[in-house]
Amino acid sequence: MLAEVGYLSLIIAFGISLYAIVAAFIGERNHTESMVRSARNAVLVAFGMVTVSTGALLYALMVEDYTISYVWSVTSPSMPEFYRATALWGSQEGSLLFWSFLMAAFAAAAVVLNWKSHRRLMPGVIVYTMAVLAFFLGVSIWVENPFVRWWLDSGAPEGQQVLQAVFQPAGTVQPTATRLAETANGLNPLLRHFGMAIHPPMLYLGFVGFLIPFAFAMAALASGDLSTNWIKASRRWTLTSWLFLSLGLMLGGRWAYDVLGWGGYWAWDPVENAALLPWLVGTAFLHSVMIQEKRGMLKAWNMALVLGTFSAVIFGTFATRSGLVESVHSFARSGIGVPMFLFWFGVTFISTAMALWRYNQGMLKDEHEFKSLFSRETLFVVNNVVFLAIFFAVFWWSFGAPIVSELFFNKVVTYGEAHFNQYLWPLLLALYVLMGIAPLSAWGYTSVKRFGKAILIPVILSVVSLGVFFMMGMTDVLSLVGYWIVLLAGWVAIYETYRGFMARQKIHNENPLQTVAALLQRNPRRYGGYLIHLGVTIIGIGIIGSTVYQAETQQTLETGESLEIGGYTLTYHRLDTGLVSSDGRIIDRATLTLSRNGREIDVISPRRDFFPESEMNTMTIADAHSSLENDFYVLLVGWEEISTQRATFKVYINPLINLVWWGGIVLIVGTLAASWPHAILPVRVRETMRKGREQ
Amino acid sequence: MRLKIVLLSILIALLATLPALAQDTPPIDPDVDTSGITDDQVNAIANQLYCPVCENIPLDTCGTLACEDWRQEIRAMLAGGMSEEAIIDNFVRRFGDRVVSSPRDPFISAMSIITPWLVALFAAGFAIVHVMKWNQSRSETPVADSGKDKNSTENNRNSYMEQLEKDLAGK
Repeated sequence: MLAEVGYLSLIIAFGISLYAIVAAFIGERNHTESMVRSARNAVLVAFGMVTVSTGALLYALMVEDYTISYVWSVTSPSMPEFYRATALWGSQEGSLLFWSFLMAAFAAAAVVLNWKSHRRLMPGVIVYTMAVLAFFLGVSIWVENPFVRWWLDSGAPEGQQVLQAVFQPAGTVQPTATRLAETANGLNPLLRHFGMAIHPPMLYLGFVGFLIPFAFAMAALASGDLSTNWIKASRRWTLTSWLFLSLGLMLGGRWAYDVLGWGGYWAWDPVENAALLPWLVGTAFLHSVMIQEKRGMLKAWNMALVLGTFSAVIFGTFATRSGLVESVHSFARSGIGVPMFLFWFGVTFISTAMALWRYNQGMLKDEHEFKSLFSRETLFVVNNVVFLAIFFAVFWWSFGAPIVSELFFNKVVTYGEAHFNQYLWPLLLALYVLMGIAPLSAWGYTSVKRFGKAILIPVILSVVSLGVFFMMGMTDVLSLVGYWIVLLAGWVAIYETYRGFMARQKIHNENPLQTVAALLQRNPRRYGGYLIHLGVTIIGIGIIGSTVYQAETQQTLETGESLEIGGYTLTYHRLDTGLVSSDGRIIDRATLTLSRNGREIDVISPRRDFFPESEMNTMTIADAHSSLENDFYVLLVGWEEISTQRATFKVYINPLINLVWWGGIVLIVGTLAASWPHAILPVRVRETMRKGREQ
Repeated sequence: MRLKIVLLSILIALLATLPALAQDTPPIDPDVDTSGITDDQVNAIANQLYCPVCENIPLDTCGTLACEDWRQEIRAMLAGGMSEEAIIDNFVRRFGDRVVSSPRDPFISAMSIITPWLVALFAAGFAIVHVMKWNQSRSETPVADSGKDKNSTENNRNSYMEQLEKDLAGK
């Protein structure tokens, strides 16, 4: 019953999406208001139907309906309810349905929230959001159906007796519930982590959210309304998507650090990079769009960036799910490669063609010219060049070069972490340089004298704080250069905020918290932006510390024996094997104590989890002693088969690594501050304020 | 006589392929004493290699039995006196460029490194040309809608600061 409900809802949602496209198109063309309204209602109904379908699958997972093949492949009777729910996105079919659900939700929200304010663009927005939704629903219906069920045909030849279909084929019976439950696979152990409950939804929200700015841009191109309307309409959607994507990337890093057991958080794996690519183009857009809003410039460029961001989203989805480049995330591979590739190509080709069409008509021409070579506009253009250079380098080493090498030279090559770290750092540092100087430059023109005066104090503060890093033992020259540039960017953000704070304090007699709130309320983009820059600075300090100054050792210890590293002493006490957890895992756990300067500071318990029912069945779970200074990260590598007296441990000391997570939190807070909707004051109040300013 | 020639040819061919065969197998002496080689020495090399079976997982962290065997091979090679470079070369010869983080093939390596920089240079050049063009057209034609401040360079310079002060004052 659940399979029928879910599947039929999907088909209805698909049909309604197609109807919405046609109704919006005809309504706009014939200026028939009722048709456009009907299209809007169809968007809402399509969202409702996808919700029913997703709900049916979720319910099937919760009640363990193993007759549905997807449920059978990602859950098992021993799995706790929490992971049964997260199994919704635990494999290809379910995650694609969940993706469609989020996409339908975004489309419905965009239509409802922007209906009055951007009515003219709405038919176009409906056409493009529903076209993309219809594609993904079509993939779920015809290629990756999450509602197919198991059937047994006893009359078929050996090896062909097990069938998969939504509806019962003639002459078949359903396998018994007991048999299905006994053989159920269970969720991939890598996904049985709290981070996996949040990381994929955040990433999907980020990916899917970029559909709305894309749809607004396409609607603007189609309608010819290429004023700043589409930019205003899509700005908050872009920031929201960017926020979710940033959160998804950071949670992914944290999950890798906790679960994959290699002591790091970002390996430049192609699947990680597939998620980073739209983030890079999206970040470039968030900067350059300010130039269009303030100065009416870079219209064509901004259009290209919005279209490019969505193209990168679809490419990332295609690359991740088709197995284009093999990686640790390969569980998501399937046969959807060709339709996804064609869709990506179609989206990119059509959007590029429409942008070129309008460009040739002169509708994407700038309203102003650059006033000076040294201005905020110029620095933002340079910022965009650097972002795109990083984008291309990451794309090339993750996908371009490996594909070219395999196709034309018959050589399978890998571009690993060392390669990225070796060649990308100049571009990353260039971004920090721009982050430091761009906020001090003015729109239009900046004199060198004024700029020098503005940057003096941040330079002094950064040199002083660099001294602190030097005193802490960070003496590698290149890393100190990196630290100085990163610190300068951070101090500029802090100093500019401080100046704003003090200026307001001089004028208004209010408490400091009120001042901070007032600054954020009056100019959320500026001060939210400074918070984001501060977050990126903190992340940069963490990355340099944990990359350049990481220490590691691997040693085999007898019980009672210790190893020494970085001023710490780690003593091995015992290994408990064969502990059975409530979810069926078999756990082997070591107990060690960590001491510093002769004082015990923590008990460390790295472990190995064994999942008997899974194919990928062993997980090495690290344990760490965390402080702001560093993480003391321990892995249980192995032990002697006949005794637990000797065990091997791998230890990493990751200096300042926690700043990566703290910086991420600051970045999220900054993005929330920058995108928080502020109340629109009544006309009377705004008029009074305007008069006050004129006096 | 003919048989002798055939046998001699086979022998010569085998001798000629011997160095190549030697390169394709790990030069491990099963009796070599590996007790003096630490895990850290092994991992320092394994960290520069990728698991030939599981994609994108460094050899020092891969948990499969095959990788454990390859780490033991590295240990034996180190004990046998091979250098770090020779060990990595041996793995590349046996498993291809996929086991190192940058391809060793000079052409592919050059192509992979130069291409992004060329694109970046092209993008930078494109941006510079456009900014110069904008700047040039500004000097030739006064900007139409900047009349309110075109005669006031000082106003231009201070516009950012004035806007900042206004915003901060909340007026």
